[in-house]
Amino acid sequence: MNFKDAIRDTLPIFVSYFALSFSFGILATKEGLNPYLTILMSVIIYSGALQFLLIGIYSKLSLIDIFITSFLFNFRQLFYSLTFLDRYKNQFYKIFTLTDETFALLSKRKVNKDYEFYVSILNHFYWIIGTILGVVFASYVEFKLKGLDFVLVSLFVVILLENILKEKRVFPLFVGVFSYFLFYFLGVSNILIFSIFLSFIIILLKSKRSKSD
Amino acid sequence: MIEILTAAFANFLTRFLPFIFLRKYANRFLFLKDDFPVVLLTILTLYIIFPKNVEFQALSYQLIAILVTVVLHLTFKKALVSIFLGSFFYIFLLNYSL
Repeated sequence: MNFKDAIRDTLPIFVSYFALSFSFGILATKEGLNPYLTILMSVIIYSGALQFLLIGIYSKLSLIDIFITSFLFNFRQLFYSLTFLDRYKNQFYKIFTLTDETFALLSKRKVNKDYEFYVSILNHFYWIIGTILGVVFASYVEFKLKGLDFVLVSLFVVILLENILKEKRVFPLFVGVFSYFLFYFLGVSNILIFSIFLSFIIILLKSKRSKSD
Repeated sequence: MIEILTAAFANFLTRFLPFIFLRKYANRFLFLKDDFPVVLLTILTLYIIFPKNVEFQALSYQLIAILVTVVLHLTFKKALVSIFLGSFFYIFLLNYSL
């Protein structure tokens, strides 16, 4: 019965994963990424927003910048793993597939090894299938629409908005805006890394201060 | 290829580091938990819509479409609806407006 439960519970995730990975497949193909590489990304990275981001930056940034950006971008996943440290001991595949949605679903459920595995593999499967169909669709259906890559911006805006609504604070938004435009107007060549580093320092200083208060 | 593997490795680390190092070690970074995701998303969004050479028309369409996305999301609170309708709105502006 675990498998049926997993299918039922992951249905909403199926809808959103499929829609997003399908768009990812189309966008990556239209941007000229190799189809196999696109599908490989969904298999070995399996992180929606990061994959969308990579389409835009992979040809523009150096390897070290790609590494830093990807690591910091998905830094939050560290806390999912931290939460599941005891629960997921030595369960390699489940750790690897701990996405936002999988974490959100499983953290509400009791420990059940089989159920956890089914949920993890089903979500990964939806993501890969959507990508493959998106790639196939984009390769065989001719269409020319400019601006498809805006999906990434609206995706980021929505995640951002949900975060702000949840945390009820706009301070980090201001830190981001400040750091970015500071280096933007200074004309620094590598705005991304500079502004990420500056905001890291600001947050570090702020946490030190609130601790000593 | 190497770019993808680099990103995959970095992403891999975010999921596995707590299991490789001790809990205590990873806990030192807890202060980043609340603020950092928002900061990063802000910076990355700005990085996309404010490139080195800004085209005024593209920028104004993007800002309008972002506004539409935000309003949609505040109204319906359905992520997929906001993302796709917001994007379609932008695509529409870009392809069919004067």
